[in-house]
Amino acid sequence: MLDHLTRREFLKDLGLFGVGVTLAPAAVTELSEMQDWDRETTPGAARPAWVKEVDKPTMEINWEQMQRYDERNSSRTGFAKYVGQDRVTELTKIQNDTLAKWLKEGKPGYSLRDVALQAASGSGSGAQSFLGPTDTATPEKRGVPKWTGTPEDASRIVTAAMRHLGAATVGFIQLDTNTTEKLIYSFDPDGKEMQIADVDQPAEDDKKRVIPKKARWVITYTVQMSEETLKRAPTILGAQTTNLTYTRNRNIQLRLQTFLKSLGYMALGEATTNALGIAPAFAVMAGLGEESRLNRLVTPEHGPMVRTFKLITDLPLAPTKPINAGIMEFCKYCKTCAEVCPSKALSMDTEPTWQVRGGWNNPGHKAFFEDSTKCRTYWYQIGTNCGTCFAVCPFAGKDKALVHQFTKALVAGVPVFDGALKSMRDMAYGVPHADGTAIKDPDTWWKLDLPEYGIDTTRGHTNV
Amino acid sequence: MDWLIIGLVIGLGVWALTAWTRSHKLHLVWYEWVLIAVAVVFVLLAYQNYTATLAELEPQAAPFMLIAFGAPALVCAVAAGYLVWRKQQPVSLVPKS
Repeated sequence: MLDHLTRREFLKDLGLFGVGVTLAPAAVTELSEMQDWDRETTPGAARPAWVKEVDKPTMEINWEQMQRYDERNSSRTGFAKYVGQDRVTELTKIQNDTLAKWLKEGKPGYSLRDVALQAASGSGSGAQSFLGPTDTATPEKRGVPKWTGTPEDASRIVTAAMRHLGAATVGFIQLDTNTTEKLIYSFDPDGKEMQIADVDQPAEDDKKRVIPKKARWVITYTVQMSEETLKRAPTILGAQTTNLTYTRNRNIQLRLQTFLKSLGYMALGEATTNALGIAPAFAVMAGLGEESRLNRLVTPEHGPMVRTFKLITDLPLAPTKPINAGIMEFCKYCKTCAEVCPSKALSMDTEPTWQVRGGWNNPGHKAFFEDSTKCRTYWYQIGTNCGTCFAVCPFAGKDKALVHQFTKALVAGVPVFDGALKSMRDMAYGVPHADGTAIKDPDTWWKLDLPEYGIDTTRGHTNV
Repeated sequence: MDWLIIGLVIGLGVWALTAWTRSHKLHLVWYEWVLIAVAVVFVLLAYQNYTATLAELEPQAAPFMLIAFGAPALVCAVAAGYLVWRKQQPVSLVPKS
């Protein structure tokens, strides 16, 4: 082979060798960087090219029909209203007896170490309040004017601050009386009326919370849950990542309120868990993700493995638009969450509908409405919040294998392949059980070497 | 580090293949080179998706990745090999009566 190698041929071969050395990594690993090529430096969430910004969300909304929702009607707060107090008492007894039994048995996911982790996940957070901390050093106290800048500048610095404080993705909405303002609750979970009034300052007493009309901007954000942990659903071990995320958010909200107040602006947060307004709705309108069959937000970056929160401010912000990443469309063909749901609460309809299934649903949008009472009843029976639908969602996965990027791009761009992609996924990953069995063995979780909080904080960000 | 080694292997492979074709006086046409390149890309994809799926703690899906990306690689490589081999076969100048 080397007998007749000339200088010319040697140099040509050297060139080919160099091409091979450089192209091999580029051909594979650098493909994942191609998504950054046309990424604009816009405020809020930066996205791969296959996530399209749209003017209207992929979920149809009839704003004229929609009214501000009374959160006391949700299945979380108003469960007794739908099933009766006697049934709630009975279910509570079942829950307590079941948990005690499984704790004594050391059932995987319910043993002492799992229960201990749940207790830990729910502790160690700051106070949660509507008005925010009262002792913040405002610009006035510091003897300087309040921060000013363009709405784009404001969105950029709020996004940077929130990522630093622990949020995954951040979006912004400008409230409109006829549309997005209707996503603010009429009554908070604790029974206080949410008033929107032409006043200069927010206020709160034992009957109401007052949002000034001039507070026209909503900051909506996601906080990641641990996908690997929630795949141990439905157990206490799987569910405590939900608890931990809510606990983390109490600190994130408190710090965001401190940040905004330090800039000289009001920061009206959730007074209690899931208060103030419809979190997934705000997130959909701000483009953090799309509505889905499981009636929660599904994001392009983390699938449903996020909790969603919101805060109202008078700091002018540049709104972020809804997105179309093919998620809602894929839900029509997939149905995995509904097929596997142990309580059969989720809709098996192929198309979303305007028809609600009970007072726990908010009319005025087209969705895969669920029977939330079945879902919540099951929570009592297993002693903890379930989360199986989150765990089995095809969008709830890690992003190391390049095939995920190809698949998501196909889902976003060529919906005709959705059925085939779903079938291939079932072939590759297996079909989850529909009997409430955890996808992954809870005992194996304790042997893993997961990152902090069990989450990948680099996904979806460029400067890491 | 993995990818540096893979790059070196591919670089060596490309050099070895061109040197071998030259020494055996094989002239590959452009589409045969394209088939070989596509086969190499699919091998790389099979490797990346297989190892990454294991890293994602989804071992049950790893063999599927190997087959899904390895099979096209095999098909392209065999096709290129067959086309090259066929060109080497002697052609009979005397038509059969």
